Order: sequence, then C-alpha cells, then structure tokens
Amino acid sequence: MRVPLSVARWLLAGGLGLSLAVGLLAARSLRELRIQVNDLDFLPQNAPVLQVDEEVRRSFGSDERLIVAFEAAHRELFDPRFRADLSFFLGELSRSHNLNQLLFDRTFRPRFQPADVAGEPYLLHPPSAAWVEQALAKTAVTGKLAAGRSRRAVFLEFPALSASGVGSIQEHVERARQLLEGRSPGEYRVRVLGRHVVLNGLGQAIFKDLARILPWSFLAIGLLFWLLFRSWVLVGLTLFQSGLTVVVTLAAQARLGHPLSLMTAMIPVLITVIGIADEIHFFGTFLALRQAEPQRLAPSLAWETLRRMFVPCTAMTLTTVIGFATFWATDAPALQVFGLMAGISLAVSWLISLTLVPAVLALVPIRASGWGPRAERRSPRAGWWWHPALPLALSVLALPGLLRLRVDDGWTRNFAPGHPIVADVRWFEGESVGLYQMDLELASRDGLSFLAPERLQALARLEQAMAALPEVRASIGLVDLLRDRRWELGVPAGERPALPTEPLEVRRLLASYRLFNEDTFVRLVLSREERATRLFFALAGDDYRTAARVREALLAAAAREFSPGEVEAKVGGSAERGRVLIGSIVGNQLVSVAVSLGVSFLALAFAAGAWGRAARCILANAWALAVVLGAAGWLGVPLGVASSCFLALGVGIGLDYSIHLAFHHPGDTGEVVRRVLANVAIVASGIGLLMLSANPTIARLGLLLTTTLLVSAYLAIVSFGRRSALQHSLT
Amino acid sequence: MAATAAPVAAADGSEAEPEAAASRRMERRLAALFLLALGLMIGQALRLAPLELPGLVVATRAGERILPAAVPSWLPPPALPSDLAARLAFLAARSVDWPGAPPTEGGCELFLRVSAQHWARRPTSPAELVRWGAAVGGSATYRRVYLRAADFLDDDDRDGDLLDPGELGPGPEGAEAEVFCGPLAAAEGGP
Repeated sequence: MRVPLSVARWLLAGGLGLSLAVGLLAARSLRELRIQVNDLDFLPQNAPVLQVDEEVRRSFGSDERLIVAFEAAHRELFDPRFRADLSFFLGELSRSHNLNQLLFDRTFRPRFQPADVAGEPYLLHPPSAAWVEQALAKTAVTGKLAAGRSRRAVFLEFPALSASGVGSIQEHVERARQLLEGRSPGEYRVRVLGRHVVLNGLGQAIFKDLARILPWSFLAIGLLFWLLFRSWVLVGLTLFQSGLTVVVTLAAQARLGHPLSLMTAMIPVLITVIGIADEIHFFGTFLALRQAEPQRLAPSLAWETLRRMFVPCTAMTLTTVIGFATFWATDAPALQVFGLMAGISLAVSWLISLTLVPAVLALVPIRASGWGPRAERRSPRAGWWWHPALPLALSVLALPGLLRLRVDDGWTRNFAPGHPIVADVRWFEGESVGLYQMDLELASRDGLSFLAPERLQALARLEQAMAALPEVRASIGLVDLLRDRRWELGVPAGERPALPTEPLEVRRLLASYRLFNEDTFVRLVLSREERATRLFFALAGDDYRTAARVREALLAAAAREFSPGEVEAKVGGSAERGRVLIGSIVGNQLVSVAVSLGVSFLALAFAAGAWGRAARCILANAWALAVVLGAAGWLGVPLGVASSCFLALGVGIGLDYSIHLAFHHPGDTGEVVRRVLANVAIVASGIGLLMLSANPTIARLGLLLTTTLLVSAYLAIVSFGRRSALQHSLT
Repeated sequence: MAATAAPVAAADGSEAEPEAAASRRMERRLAALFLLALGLMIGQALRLAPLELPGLVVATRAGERILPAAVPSWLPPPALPSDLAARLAFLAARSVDWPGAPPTEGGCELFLRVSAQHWARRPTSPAELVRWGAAVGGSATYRRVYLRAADFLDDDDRDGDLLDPGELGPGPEGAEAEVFCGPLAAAEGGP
C-alpha cells in the first residue's frame, strides 16, 4: 500500500511532535538529578579498604570532619579582641539549632583547673590565654588540631554528615562571616575545609562546566553541519536529535537514582557529538545519491541511503556502544553507570537516526549545496602524509613513551590549580595537619586489652616510629589521649608527662573524658570492648606514592610491635582509599579495553562473516591507541580518574573509521573517505570542546580523545584506503 | 531492510560477497546484535542500584555524651529551676552517666556539676552518700554538697573511683553536687 505524500508528512509531523513531547516530559525529571562526587564511586565494592572502613565505623564511629578555619589577618588567638570576635562568630553560627548541636571548638573549650573558682561552682572553666598557649605547645590533640601554626587561626569542627548537610553548614558559615565582616571589616578570613567540601566543590565545578560546554558543543555541531551541508533542515534535525538524546538520557539517569558524577557529567557532551556521527554519513550519502540521480524521488533516495548506511552505521554504533558498555565489566560503580547510560544514550540516538532521520530526508524538501560531487575534490591520498612509512615512523617514535606514562591522582588535582578550594587546602596543609588521613586499625587476637601496659607501650613506640617519616604530618591515638589528659590534670606549667602505665590511672584518665562530655574522643580510638584501637595518621599528600609508602611503613611498624598471633593490623582511611583507587583505575582500564576490543571483534566478525577484515579493524584501532598512549607518555600528560577512560572510549569511537572503510558499499571508497574526514572534523571538534573544561582531568580526556580520533582516522585511511582508492579510482 | 539488495564488498575486494542474501544476513545479524546489546544494557541499568554512601555511625550510646557537642562551652550558665522535681528533670537532661558506676538499689541520684552547662549523673545509695560525706538526713529528699577540684584529682583509697570517702563537703568552694533521694529520684527513673 502506498501512503500519499501529504499523509506521510502529517505522520512525520506527528512523530516529531511526539518526540518533542517525550523530550519535554523527560526534561521534568531533570529536576531530580543530583550532583555527587565521591571516591567510593571509583572503588571496587569488595575492596578490602572498604571493609576496613566499615569495621572502623562500627567500632569507632564516623569521623569525617568539616573544619571551619577562623583566621585573623594580624591578631593572634590570645588577643582578647580575637576571642571576642570569635565568640561573636560562634554565637551567630549557633543561631542555627543543628549547627549549635554539632559545633565543636577545641581551643577555648572550658578546661579543668585544679583550683576552685569563686562564683563558678563546677570543675571546668574557660581557659586563660596562658593555658591555651601551654595546651597548644604540650598536647598532641589540641596542639595538632585546635589552632594553626601561625597562631592566627583556630579550627572549629562539625561532623560531616552528608553532602547536603555540608552545603547547609557552608551557607550558615558564610552568613555568619558576613555579619563578622560588618563588625570587624577586613580583619578575618573564614574558610570551610574538608574532604566533603572538596568533593562538593568538584561536583559544582563539573556542573558549571557542563552548563558552559554543552551549548558550545551544540553551536559547534550546528556550525559544522551548516558548513558541510548548507541546509537549515539538516542542521535543525541534527540538533533536535542531539538535544532529545541528551534530555532522555539524563532523565533516565535521574529516574534510576544515579547522580551526576565526575564520569556521567561527560555523557551529554560525548553523546551530543558521537551521536550525530551517523548523520554525517546519512546526509552525505543522501546528497551524493541525489546529485547522481536528480530525477529520483526523495523517499526512494532516503530508502536507498538507509539501505546503504544500515550496516556501517549500525556496526560502528554497535562497537561504540560496546566501548561504553564494557565499563560494566569493571568493578567501579561510577564507571558502570557511565558505561551503561552512555551506551543506552547512543542506542537511543541510533534509533532516531534510523527512523526520524530517513523520514525527514524522505518527506521534507531539503535545499543543500555544501556536499559537492566527489570528482571535484582532491583525493585525500594524494599527499605524502598518506604514505604508510609515515605512521610507522611515528609509531616507532611514540611507543617508547608508554614507559613514561603515569597515573595522576588526588582529588584536588581535578580542580584548576588556582581554584579557591585548592588554595584553601594548601593553606590548611601549611597551618595544620591537612585533609588526608590513613587509619591503622589494630584488633587484639589474643583477647588482651589495649589498655594493658605492654600494649600501650607498643602503641607509643609505633607512633614514634611513624612520626619519623616525612610523609606523616601528625598521628593521634590512644596514647596521645592519655598523655594529654595526664598533662591537663597535672601541672600545666610542667613538661608533657610520660605515658601512664598504672592501670588504675589509665582508667581514671579515660573516665575523665566521659565526665567532661568528651567520650567521643575515646571511642574514636578505642572500641567499647577495648580489644581494638585505631591510630590516625595525617599524610602530607593524597598521591599514590605517599599513601603507598606510609601504608608499607605502618604495616611494618605494626609487625615489629605485635606478632600476627597477638594483633591483626589493617589499614583504612581516605588516603588508603586514594591509593586503592589508582590500582582500581589501572585494572579497570585494562579490563574495559581488553573486553571492548575482544567483543567488538567478535561482533564485527560475526555480523559480517569476515574475520580477517574485523581483525584488521581492531588492529588498526589498537595501533592508534598505543600511539596516543605513547605520545601522552612523552608529553607528560597523566592519566587520571576520568581521563583514563579514554582508552575504552577510543576503541568505541575510533573503530568507526576502520569499519566505514572496511565495510563500505563498493565503488564508494572516495566518498567514504570524505565522510570519514568530515566525521573526524565534526566529532573531534565537538569532543575537543572538553579541552575547555575547567576540570583538568576532563580537559585531558578531551585532548586524549580528540587525538585518538585523529590518529584512528589517519591510521584507518592508511590501513584501508590505498588499495581501495586505486581500485575504485578515487581520484 | 533488504528489499533492494546491494552487494557489500570488502574495501580491498578480496572478500567480495555480492549476493543479496549475504547482505541481508549481515543486516539481520547486526540488528540482532544491536538489540541484544541494548536489551542487556537496559536490563543491567535497571538492576544497578545507586551507590549507597555509608551513613553516620555514632559509637557512643545514650548517657555517654550529651548534645550540644560544644558543651562544655563558653556560654553563660543556664537558669536552674527551683522546683525540685523540675530541677531533677533539668539536670537529668543535661548530664552524662558516671563512668563505671555500678547500678545500686539505693534510690538516690547524685549530680556533680562538671561545667557551667553539664553534670555527671550517678545512681547511689544513702550508705554511699554517708561514706562520701553527703548524707541526706531524715525525711529530706534533696541536698547540695560540694566537691573540691583538688579532691577530684586524687584517688585516696586506690579503688579507681574518682569519688573518695569524705570528699563531698558543705562548700561553698568546689563543684556543686546535688543529691536527690526517695520518691523524687525514683520518679525521674532512678534506681
């Protein structure tokens, strides 16, 4: 049955309207999309460090802190004016009930005084400046955590309950700071610090980036399509497809409850660009056919285009989808969600390419003048740069760079170096212990309490040994709590006392923590049953090398002090998670690339029944990846949390060119090479926009992906183009 | 898809397979693979639960700490109710449990004022109170005594208890300790 053209156009209009309605409906779900960045997203869920962290939480409670650093420009914290302004600031913060419940100030917290104070019938009294000075000099906990080394800053603390809770605290702090500014203009600076602040800030930076880059990628695509095809209909159709795909994908992500993370934030830009790769081939083929057969009706040309493009476009989309989907084989939740959502998104785009695009080509009059007959153009193989010797020479030069590749780590490296959060973290590293923590959990296997004298002595020796390491900025444990309290209840003017070994005194000192409403401190380092203890180590950095060295030293020190039969030692904490993260990234990339190459090969070979050609496609792609990796090694471009995923993406996207050149319609080689070049120009330009990201990791991903596309296309043309070009008289 | 079969050939022509049937087969296989991949991805996406971040774990129990965490703080002391029942309830809400104090059947409660804002609560008995020097005489249910700071530090009888015999006195120097006995203490949930 033949459908009249007018009816078909109405049907198309209905289809477009329906798509638009779906898009608008989906857009409503975007309000539910949360932004969340967390290192746990990148760790294998069965990683031992997560089990240790869970055990630590169960025994010692959560200890994520949010630090409000109150810094004076000139005054020291012993200055009465400083104290008065701090009291004002604390009072303003305390107006919030929640903050009032959680706020903690170590510096001016009332302390025990051995003499009774008239008119103050209690044991703890606001400390004098002299007492605070002594405490900062002679105790471990107060000395390391309460105030800055410059003595111009004090650190207030909150438990970091959740990302939204941290955001709320930041708002209150800012409000209180503004009021303080009105009282003492220019005198104080207030910073909010903590791992959650870094991660929240990263989430906000990512969202800003997305909002900035996405419109540019749409603009770039529109412009390039206009330059190529000179048709507003085709430009509009492409942008409609990209927009619809992005909205539907993000809506699905929101509905499934997955937040926008460091990885999934890249999906909109990637899909906007990769998703329209099919259109270049559809439009190019359609216009070429129309020029060759001007008398033929548009529906017939559109059908012929679909027939010709179905295999290469489906194959190349399939391999790209496989490239994304192989992230499912990794054990990092962030990579899994990214792979699945990007893969589904690309499949949605493909469905639109196969339905809406041919329908528009068939039914909407298209005036296009940009895609001229190929005979008018110069062969891309005409130049010396297509000679096979050149890529071979480049490969020989690039490949040794593989040995110089390094994995960059640390969350602050995801920010631009001048970002205020990075500046705050650096300042805190100079003033205090920094944000990177490693925990040593010691569990008694022989049933002996950690309050036993020999255990306490062993803990003291262990801490002393670790303090000698340059990577360890501070350590805090049970021994410090006992010595600090012994000093406080003893003679403040005296030296820091030795570790008490008398069991009754140890218990009396620990009991004082409860009486002073500080039992939380004890519980942070000693389990209720006294069979497990935890030592905190503040590290100088969160890079892999620092964490690995401290971890090794910790386990060695623990082994020296405790035999495995007596005490079991485990390492956890944020710095340890960072160390494991790097191993996880490297392992996951190897898995996803291997699976991506393998599955793509099988899919291509099975579908085409041509194992040899499929193998050549894969080899050309692997060659391109190796060259790019080598170049990255020579240029010192590190791989990071996000950028390292370029390998699997490079397989998915870079394979497209080999597929088009290996599985094209006979006689079309010259046309295919042109379309591949147009494809590279558009997709690389779009993905290249990621290089404008303020997030260095994403910018590096943009650089690596763009380079991979260019090298893949080049090597694909060199690998597949020459003989074909000769056979089909490309020129 | 394959109504007008066009031959699909290798780029180099070495594996030419011009038959329409082969082309259709390839299209069908690709379509099947694609749909299979899409189905698998959608299935996995539906099964993949969002990552649950670890919740807050508090290792201390009720009575081991009080909120606000800032207590003891720089804030001025609160006004205490003069009515004994209300005062007992007020102190109970602002006190931590005395560490290591065994439960007693004595029917008395001792509240030692540790800071301007908080107290330490200890179940006790008239006999213990007598030993500490804080006996509640006759039918009285309330008494205020004092613990000197210097006495807090020592352990005269070497039993590990912070309170030693005779350390609670009439004051007025030292930290306040309030004793509630009899029905008053029992009504507040005492022993």
